[in-house]
Amino acid sequence: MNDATDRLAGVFVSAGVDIDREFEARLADSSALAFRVAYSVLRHQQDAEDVAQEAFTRAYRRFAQLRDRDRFRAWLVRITWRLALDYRRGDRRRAVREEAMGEPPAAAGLEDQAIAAERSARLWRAIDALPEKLRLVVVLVSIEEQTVKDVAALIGAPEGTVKSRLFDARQKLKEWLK
Amino acid sequence: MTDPSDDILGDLREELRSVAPSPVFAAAVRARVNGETPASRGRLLFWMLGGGLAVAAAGALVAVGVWRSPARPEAPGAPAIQAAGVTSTAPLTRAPSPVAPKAAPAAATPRPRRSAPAAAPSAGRGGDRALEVITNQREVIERVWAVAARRGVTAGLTATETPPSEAPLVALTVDPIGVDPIVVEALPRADVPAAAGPVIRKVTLDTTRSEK
Repeated sequence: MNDATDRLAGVFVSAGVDIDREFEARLADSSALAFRVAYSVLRHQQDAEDVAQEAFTRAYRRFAQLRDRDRFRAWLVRITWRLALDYRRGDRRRAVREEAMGEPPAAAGLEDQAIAAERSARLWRAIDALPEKLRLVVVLVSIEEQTVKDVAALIGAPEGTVKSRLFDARQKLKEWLK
Repeated sequence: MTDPSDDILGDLREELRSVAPSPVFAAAVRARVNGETPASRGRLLFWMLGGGLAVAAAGALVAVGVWRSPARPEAPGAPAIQAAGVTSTAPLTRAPSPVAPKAAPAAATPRPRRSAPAAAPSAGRGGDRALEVITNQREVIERVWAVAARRGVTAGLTATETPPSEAPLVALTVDPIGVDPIVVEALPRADVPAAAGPVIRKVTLDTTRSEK
């Protein structure tokens, strides 16, 4: 009886080793994607890393249950996006951080940097003001030069829907930032 | 001429390109999942599989138990009875036959379920009893007809000569039922005082007892 149990456990262990190998490849391939998705929501290097790492950890736990491994990136994007939104909702320091982003630089010789920072802050404020569906599309299109087709695959929506959302997002951003 | 929104997306692209995970990112992820060694995960999967099988077996047992429950009709020809408009959790009980004499209150104990069909709605107090409806009336009537024919009850018709479905309609004549009204004298009599008076008994002497 114990032999049979050990043998069966051995089968699962070897399957686990294969999963580890495959997951390692996915980790190398999709780290930047997960991190940038989290960063687009949180705009904080350490927080974005925490959230992306947590997303990978959750994905690892359920990796064996994922039937279509080609959908891993889409799966990871969804997990990361949700986690980042939850994290931001619960993050009390966010208001302080955003306030700090709007403050003028202390040093007088950093005028260019100040302009760039102001421009960046305005851009992110406008992105944040977008509805969630439009925001996700804009962010994903802007990460790693992904095409509409890639984004459609990532969010599991038809290409036409992605194009429409992208158009709406651009119109709103143009209006807000002119 | 470029669309200003392209500039906006270009700026966003630059913003996102300028950030990247730290070199220790992958190592940190590995450290987070480090607690789950392959061996422990294999054992976990093994127990999950065993647990799943146990749950499936329990479900199968419950399904068999439900299938064999007495609520299932006893025979294919048995009348199908379903509850209509049941709002109570009380178990379904067969209503007494409308022609049966009323049972004494002491005999109102629950009786075992009978397989004979009955189609009268129950007249329970407070409406908490189930209304039972026979859904295969034709079959039931034909069976009753067959039993009656077997016992020689013809009721003026011959079941063997005329099939039930083609039997002519017989006009039923019901004599009107006369019911005497019940009159309760509620008004006090004018010649009697309203207050409670003494009770007057009519006493007759029993001569035989008094001799004792």
